[in-house]
Amino acid sequence: MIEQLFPNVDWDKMWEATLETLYMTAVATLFTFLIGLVLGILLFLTGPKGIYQNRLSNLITAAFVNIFRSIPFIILIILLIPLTKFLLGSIRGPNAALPALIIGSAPFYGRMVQIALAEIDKGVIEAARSMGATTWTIIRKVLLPESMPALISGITVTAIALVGYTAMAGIIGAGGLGNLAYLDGFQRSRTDVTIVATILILVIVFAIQWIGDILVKRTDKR
Amino acid sequence: MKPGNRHGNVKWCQITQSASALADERKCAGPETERLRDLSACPQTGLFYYRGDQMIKLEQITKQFRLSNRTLTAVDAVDLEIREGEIFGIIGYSGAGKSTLIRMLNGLEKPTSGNVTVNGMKMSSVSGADLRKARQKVSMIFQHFNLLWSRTVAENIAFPLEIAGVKKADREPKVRELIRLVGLEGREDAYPSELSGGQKQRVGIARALANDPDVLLCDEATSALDPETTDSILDLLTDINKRLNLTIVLITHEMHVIRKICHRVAVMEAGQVVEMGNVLQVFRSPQQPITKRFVSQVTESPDVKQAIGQLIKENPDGTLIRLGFVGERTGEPVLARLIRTFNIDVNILQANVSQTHGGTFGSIILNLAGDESAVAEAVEFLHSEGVETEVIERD
Repeated sequence: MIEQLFPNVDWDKMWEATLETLYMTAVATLFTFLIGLVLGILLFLTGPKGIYQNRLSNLITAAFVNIFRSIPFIILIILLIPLTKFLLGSIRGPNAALPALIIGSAPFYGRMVQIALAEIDKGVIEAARSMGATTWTIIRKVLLPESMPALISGITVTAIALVGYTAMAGIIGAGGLGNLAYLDGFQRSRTDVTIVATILILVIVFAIQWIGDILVKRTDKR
Repeated sequence: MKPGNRHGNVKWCQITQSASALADERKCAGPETERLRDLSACPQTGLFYYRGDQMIKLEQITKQFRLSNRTLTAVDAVDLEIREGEIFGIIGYSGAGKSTLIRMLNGLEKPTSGNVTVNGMKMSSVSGADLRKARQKVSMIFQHFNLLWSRTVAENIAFPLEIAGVKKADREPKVRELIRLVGLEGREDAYPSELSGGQKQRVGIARALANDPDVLLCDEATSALDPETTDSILDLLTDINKRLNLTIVLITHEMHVIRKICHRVAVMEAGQVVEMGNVLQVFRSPQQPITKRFVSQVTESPDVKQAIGQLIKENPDGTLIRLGFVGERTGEPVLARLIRTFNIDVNILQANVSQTHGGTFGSIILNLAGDESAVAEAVEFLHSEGVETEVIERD
């Protein structure tokens, strides 16, 4: 039955491509989360009315975020080829996609983090200061826990965008489902391969959304 | 009964603000009562005075904010002294500077000029680790409670202990004790979103007491609560004040709060303290127009005012007088004697009695009708009885 519907699909290859997509998405999401947090916290603390108001560092961080958020991803990959080569020694395979994926999405997530932190009740931060908390304690025990649901829904959206980015990176040789759909499906006119790859990507996206929703629900005690 | 009989060697005097008066009072109180922290009432004046060591001192505090086009002076050359174990209220309308003032007591705001000393620590000039350490002893509760919604009741109360570096094993018994103190047994694992406003403020209070502070600052702590809950929170604060000898400074715009729990009050207007004194004294004879407005919040509801206006119209003859009674006087049958002694008609138009933290005061509005000289004598009689008497002008 399945053989008849999808005569051209090589299931081993399809599975391998799925794992590559999952690998790229997972690693890129992890680094995007960490770097985005740092960028977002910096933007928040140095911004107007922040604890460490600092125009210069705010300006520099904001410029970095805005520039890398604005460059179309496909162009960013090409621009980052020298960096990728320097870091990994190759521009092919799943790892080669990572620098572009992270640099492309971390600034995007950084803005989301900043927005999430700005939503926190200022009174709670004042309360922590009135108890003699250090800035580091405020970040760890007030800012992050109090904005956790927003941080999680933000990284969920970002991870889903990253699945799309991996497909794009696949076209220029990074592997994964996008690569398979393009090379095997499109260029060799095997529509069934494209359809299966698309379905698998949809499954991954739904799974990410589902996990994200559960985590948001679990952390939100408001 | 003479005061001397009832109170032994203690002599009575009233609180004043100047340092020399403070010294006089110490002398007057005598060594045997020097360390007493209780408020005591003077039966003659009905006033209360307070003997404690100095806890907070503000010297010529000014705070200015630079706005885009002008400089705003939020607090203007305020001098204040608050003693250990005292409940001190600061009342004012929004924008009067009271919120800025209370934030300078724990260094959340720095004064533009002047000194803030809390329990020997210069809050206006310390910074960094010293300031953070000092803040653990000057804790604060807030109008909107400012609890962490991501933490349970017990975890919220443990937060300041975590900040102070208290070990987990030592945190737990302390948190249990605080939960008992504020009456939240059984709610340890609830999240703030599951609590009522009053319960949230109880968590706020428990959290504020976690590091055994010297001073508790209350920033409009009951303004978001309904009247009944407000009273229960105020009772809790009074209880804590007595039990822990905790100095409490509160800001509010509700005279009810001042009346119910404060020993002394400062009235703020446009960044300045325009009137300050013992609560009963301020209630009995408010000096400034703004103070009178605040006092009338408690003593005269708008309905009553309207009713009096109506009564004035209905009683075109006679003299309207307002009598003020304070402390022990509220129980004396002055009126009965007035009616028996003088040949005049006495009509009570309005009367009320209010309870303050340390004593009662009341006011009565009378219409005296009869022979003009008899009325004048009657007013004279009331004066001589030590009753505050004010003739209300008809307009």
